[in-house]
Formats: sequence, structure tokens, C-alpha cells
Amino acid sequence: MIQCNNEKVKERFIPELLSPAGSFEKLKTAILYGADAVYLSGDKYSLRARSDNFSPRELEEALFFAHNHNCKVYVTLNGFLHDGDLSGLGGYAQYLEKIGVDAVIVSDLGAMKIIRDHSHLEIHLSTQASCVNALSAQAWKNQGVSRIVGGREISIVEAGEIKKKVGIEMELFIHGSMCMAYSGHCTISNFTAGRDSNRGGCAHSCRFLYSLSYDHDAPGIERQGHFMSSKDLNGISLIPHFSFNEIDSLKVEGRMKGPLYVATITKIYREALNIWKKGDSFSSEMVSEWENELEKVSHREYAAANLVDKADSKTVLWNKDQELDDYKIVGEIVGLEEGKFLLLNVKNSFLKGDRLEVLLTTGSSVEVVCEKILNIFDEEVEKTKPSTLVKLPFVLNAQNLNLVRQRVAK
Amino acid sequence: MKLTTFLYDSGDYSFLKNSPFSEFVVATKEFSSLGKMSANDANSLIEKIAADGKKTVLLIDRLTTQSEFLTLIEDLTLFLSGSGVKTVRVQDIGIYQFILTHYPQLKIQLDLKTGHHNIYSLMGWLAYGKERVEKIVLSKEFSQETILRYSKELPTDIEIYAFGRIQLFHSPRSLLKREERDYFSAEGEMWASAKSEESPHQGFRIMENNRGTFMFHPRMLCLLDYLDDLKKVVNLSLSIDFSPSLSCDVVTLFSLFWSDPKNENLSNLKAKMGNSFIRGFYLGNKTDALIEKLKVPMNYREDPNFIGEVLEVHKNRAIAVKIIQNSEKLKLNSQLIFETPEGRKQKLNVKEIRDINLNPIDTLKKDAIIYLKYVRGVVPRTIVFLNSSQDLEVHNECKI
Repeated sequence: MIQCNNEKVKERFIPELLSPAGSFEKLKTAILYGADAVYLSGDKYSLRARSDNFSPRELEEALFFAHNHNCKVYVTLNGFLHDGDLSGLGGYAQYLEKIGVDAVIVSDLGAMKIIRDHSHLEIHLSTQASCVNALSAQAWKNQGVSRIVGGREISIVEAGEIKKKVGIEMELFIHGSMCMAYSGHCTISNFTAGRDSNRGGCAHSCRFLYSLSYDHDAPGIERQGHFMSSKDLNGISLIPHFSFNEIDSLKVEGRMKGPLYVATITKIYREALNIWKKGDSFSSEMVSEWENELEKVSHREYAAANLVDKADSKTVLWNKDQELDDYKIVGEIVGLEEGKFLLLNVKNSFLKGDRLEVLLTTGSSVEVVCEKILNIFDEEVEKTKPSTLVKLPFVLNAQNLNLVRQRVAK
Repeated sequence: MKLTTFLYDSGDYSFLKNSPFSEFVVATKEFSSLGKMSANDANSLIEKIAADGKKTVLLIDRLTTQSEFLTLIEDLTLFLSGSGVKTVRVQDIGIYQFILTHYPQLKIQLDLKTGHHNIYSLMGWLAYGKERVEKIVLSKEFSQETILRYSKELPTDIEIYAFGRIQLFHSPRSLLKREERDYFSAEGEMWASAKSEESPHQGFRIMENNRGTFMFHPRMLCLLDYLDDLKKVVNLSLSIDFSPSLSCDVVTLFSLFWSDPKNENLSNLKAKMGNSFIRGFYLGNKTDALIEKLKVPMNYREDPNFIGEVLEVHKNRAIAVKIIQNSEKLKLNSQLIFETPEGRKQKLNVKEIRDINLNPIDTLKKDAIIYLKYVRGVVPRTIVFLNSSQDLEVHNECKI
């Protein structure tokens, strides 16, 4: 159990929970499941070229939706922009300010200067800039940055120290996939695939399986391994440490990941933060339950990376890289008739008789046994198909956008 | 045009003493990520090179997290107090800040080779150091045209990497598991070659030392084929890195090429290095074009007539549409256009709208699911628009 010691409950520092919003659908999901803030990208200037990025109209709708739910929206402009990418950035910054974006996330000083010259937008420094010490943070603060997204190499304690020394907001990744290299310094994709990893083109070469021949081994000996593939980050049990060190924002990685991931991770971290806010301690049972839930989304093996100690060789997968799937999403609730049925938009097929779980916004998930599956015409369905709508038994407290999942048989 | 090279080991200078290089970047174990020499050896070496009338630059390119930063600063302070260092080369902005604040007498070479790919960024960091910065090290990813333009726009010397191994990444982690494998070479390095069926390249060189793990491209970079063009660039230095093949022969061949830059001499140098070479991005950064292709804007959301998306199709019976926007515009007798994922268009005159209980309705809410009559050819993920021009032929619909 993590002790509260004698701290006064009312003085507990509660960090912001910052979730990824790779699309409008995922933005709504993140907010519904408890994000305090979301980060997303417009249709240019970002690192996630293949995400369903937001068009201006979607962005305005997203802001309207988020602000109505007291959720902040940060827009990523964190590619390492080349001269040719910068045209229009000033106007875009003005537009973002006008529609009420809460902050922009930027990697380089050039983009920062243009944004500052054209707007009063709050600027967060992207993790891509590898800011890992207080003097670096001070230099960036001098350039107008209000928050540092720490490099993934720093610990919670180090981030807290930087905050105290410099007087700047600190944000750290708490969950999700990790780069094994210093972010922003990796050019494998650039030189091997002609894709600029620092402008959204990362080919994920670090996830490949490699054969290694060590120079000191005898000729012919090869070792197979995913030697560059980092384990995923999981900091659920460390929330008290983030709080004690007054880290302002806890960031969940994963704009490219699906709604089930966004919903599950956001929900669990929200619950943990709420428990902490109430003044309770984290019991080992609670942590274990959260860990179990976090196992249910697609992920690589978990580790705490650098959050507590320096990431050692055990934080790299080496022997396997497959993502572990305990659960799959079977659909999203798109309508309901109170007391009668839930209307499910099927994403993955399931069978009559299958056991499903409705992932409610708060509280435990609710099991539903599909003794009868009906289509919209009230005809029975034996096996559902993706891109169809079916009726499931009504579940109390279920609402639109709630996700329904199923354990994967292994 | 000036020539710069790197000294990782205290013995490296003996090969380079009588070469065309005028500047030597000294990499120590303490302050650089790849250096092998101790601070003491570096001190003696710096004195020796100065006595030869050549310039030295202390390399400080470690990215140091907060807890180790203080130790680095203490070591650096101690070293600088007893050395003849007049110029340092820094990469981490924190170290840049430290030198600016505490060592007003030191000249700075600012290594901006990663993460600084536009003129505003370069100018910004240059301005931050005012007249203290004597040279900026540019990214390996710049094209000939960009280098030429920057040489004119930047009020300082610039340096590009022109010949040598290409470092692809640096990880602070122990990826080769050096300690677990209980292997230490004399220099504390462990080397391996890596290949993957998923990569178009084979034979990556991987090295782990006590600063982490580094990956190098199977080929080396060579821009010396374009020496005539490079010589026209003002304020340009070329950096050359002979590692790991530095030898007397290599330096001799390089010197020969430098005094007589003909193809044959360059070919001999390349052959001696024992690698194949690429020109990188010098003739153009092809990632610029590819990035545009990777981005697929979803412009239909910007269409003022966009209504929503088809979620489900019951052939000859009904289609389900999720209303995403303009719910107030869709009414009975509206005409809709359906655009399938393949780009085919169909249309429908709306004669009836039903809710999820299949009851008729005439007003809609955003995010509602509605059922319309079946339209031939329409599939899930078809996008629905209001037809403002009403110029398409209407397909007959079945009854729900």
C-alpha cells in the first residue's frame, strides 16, 4: 500500500489527465471517460500524419464539445518543421487562438517564434525537444514556453525538481508506447525509408525483429531479438509520486490507437486520480484491479521506463514484440431505448450466446450475455457482422459512445 | 573552406597531425557520448594541438537528465579551469545556457543537427547566444539548395557533415545488454551488426558504451563528390569523421584527394574506408514529398452540405445513417447525395425518416441514428450530403 503519511488531504496536488484524441470519435470517448484535457492535431504540422486529424470544422466542433465538458484542448504542431512547412503557420495560429484552443504543443524554436508573432497562444514544449534538465527548461521558458513535456528519459522526481527550480509547468507521459531513443533524435526512417520520423513519417523500424551478430561472438552466431523495441509505459501505481512531485499533467500516449484503448486507459487513470483526490490511499487490491483492467487493451509488456529509475535493458522487449490482446472491441453504443435495448454499431463480430462487457463511463463494466441478438427489424441474428447495428439487452447507466468489449479466447 | 574532424581517442591525432584539417573536435568520455579519452588525456592533447598552431574544440554533446546534470557541470567546471579550451561545441540547450551564463570568454559552436530544420529556429538560437556563437552545425538532412541559402542568411559560419558514418539514433538504454552479457572491450564498447527482413537495409552497426546505444547506417555519407559546388558556399566548414576506419593510409588518401580532388583519388579513399557510400539528402530531401502523400485530409467535413455517414445497409430494405452535422437541414423532401468510399454517387429524395424503433419522425438531432429507404450501391461508410443543386437522376427506393 502507498501511504499518505501525515499530509493534509486538502493539499493533495491533482495532476491533469491528458488523453489522446486521434479523431473526433476518440475525442468524445476520452472526454466521456474522464479526460481533463485532450491533445489532437489539425490537418498539418503534426507528428501523426496517418491519424484521422481534425479539419477546421471538426476542430471547432471538438472545441465546442470539449469546453462544454470542461475539458481543455491542446493542438499539436510538433513536427520538426522545414522552411516549406512554415507557410501558413502564422495564420493557422491566429485561427487556433480565435476559436479558443487552450494551448499548442511545439517542438522547435522557429515554429514557436511564428506562433508568438501571430498570437498569444499558450505554448507547451513537445517531448520531441528532449528537454531533460532545468537549465534547458529555463532556456525554453525564456523563449516563451509555459509548459515542458519532459523528455522520456527523466524521472518523476527529476521533473518535479525542474518545476521547482524553473517555475514552469511540467507534463510527463504516464502510459503508452515509448521511443527507446531520445525523441526527436532518431532518423532511422529518414535514412532507410525516406520518411521523416520527426514530421509524422516514422516507419517504426525499432519494432522490427533483428538478427544480431556480436563482434565478440564466434562467426555465424546470431541472436534474434526485438532489441530496439521498448516495453510500454504504465505508471498507474505511481500516481501518488506524480502528485507529491506536483507534476501538472499526466499524458497518455496513443493518438493512433483505437477507441477501446482511449476509453479503458482514460477511465482507469480517472478512477485512480479520483481516489487520490478524495484523500484515500492506494491499496494493493485497487492497484491490482487497475492493472488487470489495463491488461485488457492491446499493449506490449508494461514497464515503468524512466519514471522511477533509469530504464535498463529489462525495459526492452528483445524476445517478443506482439501486442497482447486480452479483449477486443465488439462495438460502440450509438443509440438506446431506455429500459428496452442498446443499439450497438458492430466493429467485430460475435455470436449469439457470447458474453460481452459494456464499459461504463464510471464503475465496473457490466456483463451482458447475448441470449438473443436482434437486428433493427427485430429479427434474430446468430452471428453479427461488422458495420451492422444490433440490439442488445438494456444496461442501466449505459450511454451513447460507451464501448462494448469481449474477452479474446486464447 | 575549413576542414574539421573528430578525435575520440588520444592517439587519433598522431594520424592527423600532418593533414589538411585546421580544427579538431575533442571528444572525451566525460563530456561526449562517443569519446574514449579521459579528461586528462584531452588536456594534454589540446596543449599539443595548440602548439602545432591548430584549433581545438571541446565537444559537450551529452544529453544529461537533471540528476546527472550537476555532476556534469562540476566535472566541466573543474576541467575548464585547468585547460586551454577556448571553444566548446554544445548540443543540449541546457549546456548552451550554462556556458552562456558562466563562461563569457568561451566561444561556442552550436550543434543544431537534430531538431532544428528551419531558418527561424537556427536564427533564434543564434540570437540567444548573441556574438558568442562562432559556428552552427547544420542537420545532415539539408539539401544543397538549403545549405547555400542558409550560408547567405545566417550571420555566422556553418558546418555540414560531409564524410563518415551516419548515426541514426542514440538511446540511453542498454539495448545490446552489455552488462548482462558480461563483456567489456578495452574501450568499454560492445559492437554488433544487425539485419532485419523487414528493413530494406542490412548490416546496421550497433554500438553500446556507458552512455547508451548507438545505431549507424550500413553505408557512410559522402558529399565530397560535390566538392566544387561546396567550395562556392561562403562561411562553410566541412566535417569529416574517419571512425571507425581512421588510419595513416586513410588520412594520406584524404590529403591526396584534398590537394588534387579528382575522382580517382576519392575512389581510392572510399575503397580504403571499406564501405559503400550515399549522398543522403544532398540533392533533395525526398521526405518532403512523401509527407504530403501520407496525409489524407478528410475535407468532406468542411462541406456545408455534409450530413453524416452510413452505418448499416439492409439490402432492399433500409439504410442507417448517423447524423453528424446539419441535422436541422435534413427534412422530408430533401434530396440527399450518397458518396461511397469508392467515389460513386447516388441520390435519394427523402420521403420518410424513421428512428431506431422504426417510428416515422420529421425532426432530427445531432448524433441521432435514422433509417432511410434503401439506395442501391450504398455501403457502410458512405458519406451523406444534402444535394443543393438537385441535378442527379433519382434512383428508385424500396419501402422500409
